[in-house]
Amino acid sequence: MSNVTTSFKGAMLGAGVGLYFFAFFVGYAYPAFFSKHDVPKVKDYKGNIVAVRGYTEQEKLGKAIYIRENCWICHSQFVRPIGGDEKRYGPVSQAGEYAYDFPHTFGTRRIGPDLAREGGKRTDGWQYGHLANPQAMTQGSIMPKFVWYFEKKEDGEADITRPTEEGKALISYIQRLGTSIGDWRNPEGEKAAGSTVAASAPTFTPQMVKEGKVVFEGNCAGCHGLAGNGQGPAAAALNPKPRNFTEGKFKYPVNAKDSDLFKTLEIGVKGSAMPAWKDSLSEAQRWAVISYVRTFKK
Amino acid sequence: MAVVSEKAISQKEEVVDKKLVRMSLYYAFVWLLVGMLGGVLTSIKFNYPDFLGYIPWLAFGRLRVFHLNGVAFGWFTTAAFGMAYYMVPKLTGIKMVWPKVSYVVVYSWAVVSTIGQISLLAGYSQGVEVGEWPVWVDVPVSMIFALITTQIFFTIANRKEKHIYVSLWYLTAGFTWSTINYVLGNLINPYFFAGVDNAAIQGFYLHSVVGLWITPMGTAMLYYFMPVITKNPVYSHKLSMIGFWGLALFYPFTGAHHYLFSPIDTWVQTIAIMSSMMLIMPVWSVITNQVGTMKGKWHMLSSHIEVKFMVLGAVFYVITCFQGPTQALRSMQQIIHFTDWVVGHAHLAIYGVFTMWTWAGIYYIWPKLTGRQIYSQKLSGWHFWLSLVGFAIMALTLWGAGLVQGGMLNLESNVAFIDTVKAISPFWAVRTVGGTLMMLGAACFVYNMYMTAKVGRLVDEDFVSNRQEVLV
Ligand code: HEC
Ligand code: HEC
Ligand code: HEM
Repeated sequence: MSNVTTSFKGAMLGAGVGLYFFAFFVGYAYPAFFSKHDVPKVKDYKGNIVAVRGYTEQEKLGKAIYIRENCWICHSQFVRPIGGDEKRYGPVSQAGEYAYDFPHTFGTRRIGPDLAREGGKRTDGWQYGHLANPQAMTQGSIMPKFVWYFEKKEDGEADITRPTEEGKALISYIQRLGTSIGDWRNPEGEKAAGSTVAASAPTFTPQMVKEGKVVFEGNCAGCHGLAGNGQGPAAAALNPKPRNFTEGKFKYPVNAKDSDLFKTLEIGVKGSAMPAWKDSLSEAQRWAVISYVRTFKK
Repeated sequence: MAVVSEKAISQKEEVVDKKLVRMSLYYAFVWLLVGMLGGVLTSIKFNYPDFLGYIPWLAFGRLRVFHLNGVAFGWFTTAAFGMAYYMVPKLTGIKMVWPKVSYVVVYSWAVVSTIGQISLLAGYSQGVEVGEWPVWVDVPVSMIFALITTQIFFTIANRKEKHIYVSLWYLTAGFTWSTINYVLGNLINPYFFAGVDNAAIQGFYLHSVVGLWITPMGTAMLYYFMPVITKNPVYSHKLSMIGFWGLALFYPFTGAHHYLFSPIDTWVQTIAIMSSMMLIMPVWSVITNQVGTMKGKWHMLSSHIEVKFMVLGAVFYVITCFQGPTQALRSMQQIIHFTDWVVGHAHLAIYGVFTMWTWAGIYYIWPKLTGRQIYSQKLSGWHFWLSLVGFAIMALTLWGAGLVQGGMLNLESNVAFIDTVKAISPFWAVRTVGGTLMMLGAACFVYNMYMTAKVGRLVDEDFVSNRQEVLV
């Protein structure tokens, strides 16, 4: 009797362990072998099927550092087809984009923004400045200062113009993220000029200037400097340099009117670290900050 | 029948290797404190990112995984090993087979897990969530798991007690699952499956750590200590079996619910959501059994610290069991996924439920292990209230922060990401307060246990025959 129950119980326990394998094979191993997720092909932003290229040695090192510092604790790496995700980060992620990831770095928490489409969003200079001192780029950021990926200056501070090999590798990895689908930020045919609505500037009031100061110090001073002289803490790493507003000269176009600056703020300056602000500053905030920028001219 | 009564067990006290269990638990205490300290330090960095300077070893990401592994493996797993070395001999009626192997397990686990923790700070994370220890730590860890599992199996095979009590089911199954799962998640998946498949299987691994390791260990303790402490038989044995099979059937399928709306196949995600719903079943069976077993013994709640922790854990388990299935729903995921809400849920389960139950068990067995009565009831009281209040603060702020940030990011437009960070930063400050209280509570506990072993009043006839009045 006792032997019978024992072997019965043993069989039951075997069944319990079997259930684990059952779930594993049905839910996980089966799709792994038959759903062809690991085929490195994606639909690019135009709808064509294109191949995803493997990581370069430098990008591989970059990913290893991403894992070493556990960046994935704070940054997810997939854009969901819901909520504010697409608008905020870009096209929804596809399986093929991850075909070379051992291990994956999807992440489960967004203490910082998703990085799945970070590649090409910012210039390398911005990324270096940010990596060494996130607070200089984004006031109020809680991302740590990864100063140990930079050579030291005489005074012991990190020199953001001289990242170490590892620092370069990390940023090369970041700049590659999400670019397999092509240069979706600059679709061919459309002029990078962007905004079609010709905005007309409101009249500036002292109240606006006051609000603009707050916006400027929170968002712009890291590059353009508190004094608007283009010498913010992040400026050293940037090329071209941030505009010096005290000279009152602009490029896009020369003698830019307020509505031109408004457009610049909306779409950023391509090829420079100057970001696009249309998703993070409201129109009123953009007008306000322009009114403040105008006050720097000596 | 399936009655584990104090009388039947106390006669077999000598089968337990008390020194071994004590050693295990002491080591768990160390990680309880160090792991929680890691958590508190990490949480300060949310408000002061420059806190602790720019030392790579103490960078946010590294401290954060140090905390997680410190409490999940350092504290809970070590305590579970100790508890297994207590419960298995008691329930089988014989000493563990191969007594030397027990020491090999406990010592090597202490060394290996310490190396694992240090390697995280040194930057050798493997990048597998809840499996960050590097591969050269994973190999010995897998071997240790395999060793203790085998030892438990052979002990059960030679047992004197004919009946296999439900705790033994949970223990053997939990150890077996976890050995396999650890190998799969740490040694196979990261190196052989790429990208999306890797993520899916990692979700499976992660959920098996919580569902097929932490949950069965905690449940085994609950089913053991509940009848022993209340001196009531388990309310329904059938229910406990239903719970066990529900767990075995539904838990493994839920893994993909950690990556909903990702490129993982939609049908896999749907199965994961459905089985998450079904998990209400095993949870309710445990709760019903607990409430049933307490019948007529509710007065012990006011006088017995172990009962307090047990019941509190059960209350939190009820909340977990509503929260888990709701947050697996796609509509809820849109908002709360990627936010602090989930962090609140994870702490609710691992701290609020299973750590509480472990504490209940330790309060009960510590006098048996040391031959001394609990040193200070006042300290136990502080332990309880600091833990409860601290955790309530922490959980509520995390859930609040999750809703605020999730709402801002997904329901409003034109919100800069950084503004959501600023919006929840006051919540984070309060969370640090809660976490500090929790840590102080744990410190009271550890100090109390240490002093008990040193200077606690010796257990005497009175204590044994009239435990209730002595051990408040
Ligand atoms: C404490 C959590 C935390 C950690 C760890 C962290 N970050 Fe961040 N990160 C943030 C936050 C918050 C932001 C948003 C504010 C800002 O721009 O700094 C951010 C922003 C970023 C951005 C800019 C995104 C954009 O707006 O274009 C990049 C790139 C980035 N992080 C990369 C990294 C890398 C690489 C690592 C690891 C070496 C890392 N982060 C580690 C929190 C973190
Ligand atoms: C990451 C650094 C950075 C930040 C932050 C930044 N800028 Fe710039 N900005 C630049 C750089 C670099 C240029 C120069 C581009 C060039 O010369 O092509 C520039 C140029 C400009 C110009 C000149 C455009 C022109 O026509 O010449 C204006 C105006 C401007 N920024 C306004 C702002 C405002 C307002 C903010 C804050 C809301 C801001 N910037 C934030 C880097 C930054
Ligand atoms: C009642 C059954 C449960 C259900 C249905 C459930 C469901 C879930 C879901 C859906 C998530 C993912 C949320 C998200 O990322 O958006 C989650 C996360 C989590 N759960 Fe549970 N849960 C349950 C019980 C438990 C238990 C008992 C534990 C611990 C022992 C636990 C520990 C965790 C942890 C640690 C996470 C966070 C993982 C991460 O950060 O990625 N859960 N749970």
